[in-house]
Amino acid sequence: MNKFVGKITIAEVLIWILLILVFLFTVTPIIFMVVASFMDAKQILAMPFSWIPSREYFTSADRTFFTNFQKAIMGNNDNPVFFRNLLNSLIVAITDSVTTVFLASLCGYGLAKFKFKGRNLIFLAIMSTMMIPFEAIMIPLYMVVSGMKMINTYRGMIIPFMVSAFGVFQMRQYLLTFPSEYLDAARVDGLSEPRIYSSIVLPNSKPVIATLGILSFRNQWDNLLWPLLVAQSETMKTIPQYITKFSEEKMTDEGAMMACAFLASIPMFILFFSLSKYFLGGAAVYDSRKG
Amino acid sequence: MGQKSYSIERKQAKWGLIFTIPCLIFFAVFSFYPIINALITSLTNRRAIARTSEFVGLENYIYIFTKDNGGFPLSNSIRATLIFTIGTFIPMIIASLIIATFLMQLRKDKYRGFFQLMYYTPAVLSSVVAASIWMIIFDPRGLMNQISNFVMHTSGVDYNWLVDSTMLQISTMMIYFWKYIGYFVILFITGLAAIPNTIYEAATVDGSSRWHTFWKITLPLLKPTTAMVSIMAMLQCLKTFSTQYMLHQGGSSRFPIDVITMNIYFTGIRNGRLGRASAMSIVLFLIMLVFTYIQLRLTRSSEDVEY
Amino acid sequence: MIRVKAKAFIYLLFILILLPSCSGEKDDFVTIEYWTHEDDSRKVLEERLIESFEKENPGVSVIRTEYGSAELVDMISASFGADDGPDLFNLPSEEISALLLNDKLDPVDAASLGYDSIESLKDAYIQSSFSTVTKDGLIYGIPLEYTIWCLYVNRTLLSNHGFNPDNPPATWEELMEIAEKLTIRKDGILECRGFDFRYPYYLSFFVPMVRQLGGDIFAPDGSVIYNDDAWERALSFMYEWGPSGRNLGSPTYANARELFNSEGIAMCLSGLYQESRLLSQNPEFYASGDWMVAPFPVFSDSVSDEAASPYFHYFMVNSASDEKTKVEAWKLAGYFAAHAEEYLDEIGLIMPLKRITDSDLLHSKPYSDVFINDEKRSHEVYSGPHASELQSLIGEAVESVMLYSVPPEKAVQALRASAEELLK
Repeated sequence: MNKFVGKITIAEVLIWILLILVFLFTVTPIIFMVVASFMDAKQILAMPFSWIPSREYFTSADRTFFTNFQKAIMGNNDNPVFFRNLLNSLIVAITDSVTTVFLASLCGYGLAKFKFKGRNLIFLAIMSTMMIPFEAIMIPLYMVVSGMKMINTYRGMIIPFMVSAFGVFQMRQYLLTFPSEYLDAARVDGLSEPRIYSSIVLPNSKPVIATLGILSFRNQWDNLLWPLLVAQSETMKTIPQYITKFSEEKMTDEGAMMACAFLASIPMFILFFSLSKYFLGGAAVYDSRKG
Repeated sequence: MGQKSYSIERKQAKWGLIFTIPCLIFFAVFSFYPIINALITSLTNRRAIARTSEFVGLENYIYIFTKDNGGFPLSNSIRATLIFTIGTFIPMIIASLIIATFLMQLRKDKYRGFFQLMYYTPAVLSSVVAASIWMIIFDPRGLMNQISNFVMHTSGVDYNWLVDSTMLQISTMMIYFWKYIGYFVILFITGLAAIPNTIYEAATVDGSSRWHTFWKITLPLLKPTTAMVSIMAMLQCLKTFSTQYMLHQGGSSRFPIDVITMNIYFTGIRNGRLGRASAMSIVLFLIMLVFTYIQLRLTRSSEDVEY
Repeated sequence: MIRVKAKAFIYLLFILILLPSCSGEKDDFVTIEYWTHEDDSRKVLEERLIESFEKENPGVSVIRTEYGSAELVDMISASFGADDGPDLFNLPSEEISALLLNDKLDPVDAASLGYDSIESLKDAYIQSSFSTVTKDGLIYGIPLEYTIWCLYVNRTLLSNHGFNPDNPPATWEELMEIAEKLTIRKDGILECRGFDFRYPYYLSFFVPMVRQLGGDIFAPDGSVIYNDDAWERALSFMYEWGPSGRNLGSPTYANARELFNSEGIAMCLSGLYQESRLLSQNPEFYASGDWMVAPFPVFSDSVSDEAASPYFHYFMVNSASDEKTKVEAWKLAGYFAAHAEEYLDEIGLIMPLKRITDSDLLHSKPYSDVFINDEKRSHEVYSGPHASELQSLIGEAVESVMLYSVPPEKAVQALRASAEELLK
C-alpha cells in the first residue's frame, strides 16, 4: 500500500507502539508456556520470574532438558496414550473441518444464489441453532447418538459436528457478494449446476474456505464436553481430555503441565502457520486486486 | 419466453433446494430435534437420573425467575453473563477495529502479515491449554502479580486474580479477550481489504484528512463486516463456558463467574434437573435472539452495500 | 490435482465414518463397562486384576474408563439421563442417593460376589458398611474403600521453625499459629503455605468442624443448618484462614496433599492411602521417617470430640444393564474385593472387610492406629438426599466468607435459605 508514503509521523510512531503493546499481550503467555515447559515448578513460580531456564536446573542429577516432556507423554504409569489421543483429535478435527467446508459451502451456495420457497425460513432456522448453547442440548444429543449406537466410536464424535450453523452463515455471506454474472455465463455455456458449484464456486471461495476450515478444525480440536461424554475408552479419548486428566493428576507439577500444553499445541501451530497465507485477513483479496 | 424463464426458475429453485437438503437433514437430526426436545423438557419436571417427566407448564420458568436455584439463581447468572459480554465484546470490537485500521496503515505487507499472525496465535490454542497457562500466570506468585506490582509501583501486593470476585471476572474477560482479539482483527481486515483502493485514492485527491476518511468512508463501508463481527462476538460471549468452567475447576469460586451456560451445566448435568436447565437455555436463547435483533436493527441494510 | 486429492479425501472420510464400531457383538460375549475416578496407583493394580479376571473368565472383557472425580459424577448423571451409563462404576457416599432412590442400581448379587447369602456378605464387612446403599432392606453396592482423613505432618519443617515435632497441633488454634509461622510470604504474596484444607470436600472436613462447636447440618427436630453460632464460628475461622484474614491459604492454590509429598507444605489432611503415594513419589522422604500422622484437630473449646467424617466409595451395578452383564459385573466387583489385601498393601485403600480391619497388615502400616482411633470418634459423611448439592451450598458459604468477605451471619442465613429450598 502506498497511499500514505511520506515521512514517519508521530501518528505512525503511536501506531507502532500500540501494535507492539498488543503484540506483547498476545505473545507473552505463549512464550511463557514454551519457556515454562523446560522449567521445574519452583522456577516457574519464582519471584521474580526469569525467562531463561537456569543452568543448575539442567545439570541437576534427576533432570534433563526433556524431563517435563517425558512426563507429559508418559504420564505416571508409563502408558503412553498421548500419541493415540493426539491421533484421535486429528482424525476428528480433520474430518469435521472437511465435511464442514463441503456441506456449508453447498448449503451456503444454495441459500445465497437460488431463490426458492422457504429459503429465508431455512436460513433463519439454521441461524437460530447458533443461539442454543451446547450444554443445553448435550443430553438429547447424547440420546440421539447412543440411539444410533455410536457411543465410543469415531462416528459418534464426528457426525454431530459435521457442519456448523456458523459455517453456513459465513459461506452464505461470502457468496452473496459473488457476482451472479459468472454463474449465468456458465449456465449459458451449458454447465450443470453441480459442475458450476465444483468448478466455479468452490475454486473462487478459497479464502473463506481456508478461514472456515481452520476455524472448524480449531473448534473440534478444542471440543472438550462432547468427547468427555462420548469417547469413553482410553484409546478413543482426545487431547483436551488428556490435558484435563493430566492437570488433575499433576496439579503441582506446573512444568510438566506446560510441556503437555505445548506438545498438544504443536499440531495446531504447524497447521496454522502453514495455512496462514490463505486465511490471514483477506490475503487473497489483496492478491486479486493487485494482480 | 415467459414460459421458458418460468421453467428455468423452477429448475433453479429445485437445485437450490437440493444444495441445502444435506445440511437441512443434518440440522434436523442433530440440532432441531435436540432443541425441540429441550423446549419440551423445559415444560416438564424431568430429572436426569429419575427420568420422571411430568408436564408442569411454566413452573420451571416461574421457579428460575423467583427462586434461588440452590444458591445459584438465574438472576446472578444473567448478571454474570451480561457483565462478561459487555465487558468483553464492546472492548473487543473497538480494539479489533482500531488495530485492524492501524495494521492497514503499515507500509509493508510483511509487517502486517507478521502482526496478524502473532495476534491470532492465541486463538489457535485450545481453551484447556489457555486456561492452564493463565492459571499459572494468575497464581499469586505468578507473572501477573509481578507485572501489576511493577506497573502500579507497589511491592508484594497480591491482586487476588483468581480469588476476589471482581478480579475473577476481570480475569475471565482478559483470557477471553486475549484468545479472540486476533480472530476479530482478521475479520475486520478482511472487510477493510475488500474496500477498493480507488475509494481511498479518490478521498486523498479530495484532500480529506485520514481521520475524516476513516469516519466518512471506511466506517460506513465497513458496516456489513461490523455487523457480522459484532453479532458473532456477542453470541460467542453470551455462550461462553469453557473459560469459566476451567477456572472453577481450578478452585475459583463459582458464584461471581456463574454465567448462564455454566448454571445450565451444573443444574442440568451435575444436579440432574433437566427441566429447569432447559428452561434456562430457552431464556438464554431468547436473550440472544433479542440482542441479535437489536444489533440487526442498528446495522440495518448492511447486506447490500455496493462498492 | 487439488480436486483429485479432495475427492480422495472425501471418500476416505466416508469410509472412516461408516467403519463399523469395534465393540464385539457376539452373543455369548460380555463387555463390562467400568467407570471409576482417577487414581494412578489403583489403575496399575486394577489393570493387573482385570487382566487376570479376563483370563479366568473367557468371553468377558472389561473396558476400564477413568474420569476426574468431578467429571465422573457429571458423566454418570448425563449418561444415566440418556438411559445409558456404565455397567459397573464407583462413587463416593455423598453422590449415591439420587441413583439409589430412583432404582438405577442393581441389588447386590451375593452369589456372584462369592457369598452364599446376603447375610454372610453383610457379616464379612464392618458394621456401618452398607447403611448408605441400603433401601427397603436391600443392598445396592459393596464398598471399594473406607477412608478417614487425619493430619499429615512434616516433622522436619516443624522442627526447623522451632516447634516440637512430637507435639503436633491438636487444636485448630494451634494449627493456625504453627501454619502462620511456617508460611513463607513475600510481602502480601504467599510463596509457601504451612497447612491447607481439602477444599471442595466440605462435608468431610468442614461439617465435622461445625460439629465440634455443637452445630450440625440437621437439628434434632429435622430442620436444617442447626446452631447458627457454631456455623458462624466455623465460618469465621475460615475467614481468618483466607486471603482477607491472615492469608494462610485458599481453594485456588495447588492441592495440599500433592505438595506434601514433594515437601512443599508442612501439613495436610489425607487418608491412609497418602502413605503409599508418598512411598511411590518420594521414597527418601518416606524412609527418613521425618513425617507423621496426627489426629484431626479440634477447637480448643470444642463441645464434642469429633474427627473428620469418613466416607465410602461403593462399587455399584447399573440396573439397566442386561442380566448376563450384571452377573459378570458383580463377579468383577467380587474379584476386586477378593484382592482386598493388595488394595491395602499396594495403594493403602481399606476395603472395610472384617478380615482387613482386623488384619496385622493394617496394624503394621505406620500410624494406622491414629486412623483407627480417629474413626472411633467420627460420624460418617452425610449421604442422604441431595448430599452433593448440599456440599456445594456449604462450599459456596465457606468461599463467600473466605474469598469475598461476606459476614458469617449472612452466609449462614443464605445457606439455610438455600438448603431449605433444596430439601423441600
